Amino acid sequence: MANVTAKDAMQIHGRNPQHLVEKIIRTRIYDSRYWKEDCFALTAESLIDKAVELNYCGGIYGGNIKPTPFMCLLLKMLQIQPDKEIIVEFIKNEDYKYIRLLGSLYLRLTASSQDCYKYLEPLYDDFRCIRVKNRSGSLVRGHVDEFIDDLLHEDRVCDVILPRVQKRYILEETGEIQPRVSAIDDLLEDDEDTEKESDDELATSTRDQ
Amino acid sequence: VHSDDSNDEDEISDGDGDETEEYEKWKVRELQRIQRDRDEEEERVRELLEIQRRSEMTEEQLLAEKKSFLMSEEGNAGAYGSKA
Repeated sequence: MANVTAKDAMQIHGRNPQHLVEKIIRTRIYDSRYWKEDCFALTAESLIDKAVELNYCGGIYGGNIKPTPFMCLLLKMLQIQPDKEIIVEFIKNEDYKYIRLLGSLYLRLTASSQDCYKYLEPLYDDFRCIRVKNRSGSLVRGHVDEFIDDLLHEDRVCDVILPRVQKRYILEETGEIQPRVSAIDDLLEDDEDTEKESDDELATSTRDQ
Repeated sequence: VHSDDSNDEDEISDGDGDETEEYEKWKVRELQRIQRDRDEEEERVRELLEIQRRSEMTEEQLLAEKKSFLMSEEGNAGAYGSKA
């Protein structure tokens, strides 16, 4: 059967990975044309070819709940369960932002809290524009870093309910992850340093007088 | 013929616009996120300190604090406070 989860797939959060997508949406995806025509018999490799073609992300839209191709491919990934290395490659690739988003959403759904922070937080530095399809079916502008922020802080992204992720400070207290260093911190420190330097200069110059 | 797919896919471009401008916008977003995380952390620490403080108080002190809190509430809350 085309819609059955791969036999050797591991259970995720104690259940069939495909069930991470709600039943209503899942059924709509199985019924959709994109699923039937483009997602049939995809493997982890051929899925990449389809993902390259994505040019917007989003969940479902329209009055009759149409799934976006992005959503269909997400379900496909849950169905065939690609290796973790493949997902990490999805996330690390620089060229295709929607593959990156697809990989991050998949990782957020399936991986442990530690991995979520480890792999997703570096993407805060990616400020490229993305197009998101909203519920009414129109495209709106977003950014990769906003998408990542939603993944780590919202309950729902692309109409999928996200599993709980442990709070950052708990993982920090147990020493499992290090405090986050933002790319902007360096900039701020530089600013402070230059300010301090100029203060020092001012101090010495006034002292000399 | 009515098509299900709206044709607005090309209305907003998928391009990335002006690099420096986008970078400045990102900076603002990033700072807001940092601020939010700091506020959350502060709130958490404040709560922990409050719990610590109250756990060190005696029963009488707790009662006294509750009383004074209710008194001030009554003054502030008006109709709702006076009912209690």
